[in-house]
Amino acid sequence: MGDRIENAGGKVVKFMGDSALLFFSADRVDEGVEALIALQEEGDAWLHDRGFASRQIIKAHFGSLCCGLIGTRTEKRFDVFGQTVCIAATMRSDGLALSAQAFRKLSPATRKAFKKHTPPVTYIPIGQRH
Amino acid sequence: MEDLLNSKEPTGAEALVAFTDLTGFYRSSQKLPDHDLLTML
Repeated sequence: MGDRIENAGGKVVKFMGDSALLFFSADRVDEGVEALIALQEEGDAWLHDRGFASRQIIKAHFGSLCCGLIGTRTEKRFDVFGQTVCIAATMRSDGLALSAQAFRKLSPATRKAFKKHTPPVTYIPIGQRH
Repeated sequence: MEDLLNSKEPTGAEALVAFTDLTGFYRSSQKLPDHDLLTML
């Protein structure tokens, strides 16, 4: 994973248990998404080769955030904060999924690798916010 | 990119953020040896 992300100009911000947080600056979105496509395919193949009937899950969102060398007084490292991070973390994905904001940042050529996916419709109480 | 990565003060930026779950296979109630998982990183 590290080589795949870094070769595309991205950064593995951190591993969190069995998950990872990945970062690409705005001028690297196309390279980043292409790396995510490859990463997901490789992850699926890795799982399949070991007999596991499951998929690597990846979800990505584009937006504003706060970043930099952040941490305690004695140890600071690159990290990212903000709603963009929260949205990416809570997106639903059964494989690889991009938010509409991430999709819109792609070049026309890269967009051709994706299709719009509408999740199952659910019904919620009238008074509950969408 | 390098400016953002080395910024000593928190900086506002627009960026692509992605989360990946390396162990989706846990959902299938199958267990992979932990040391094998590390080869994915």
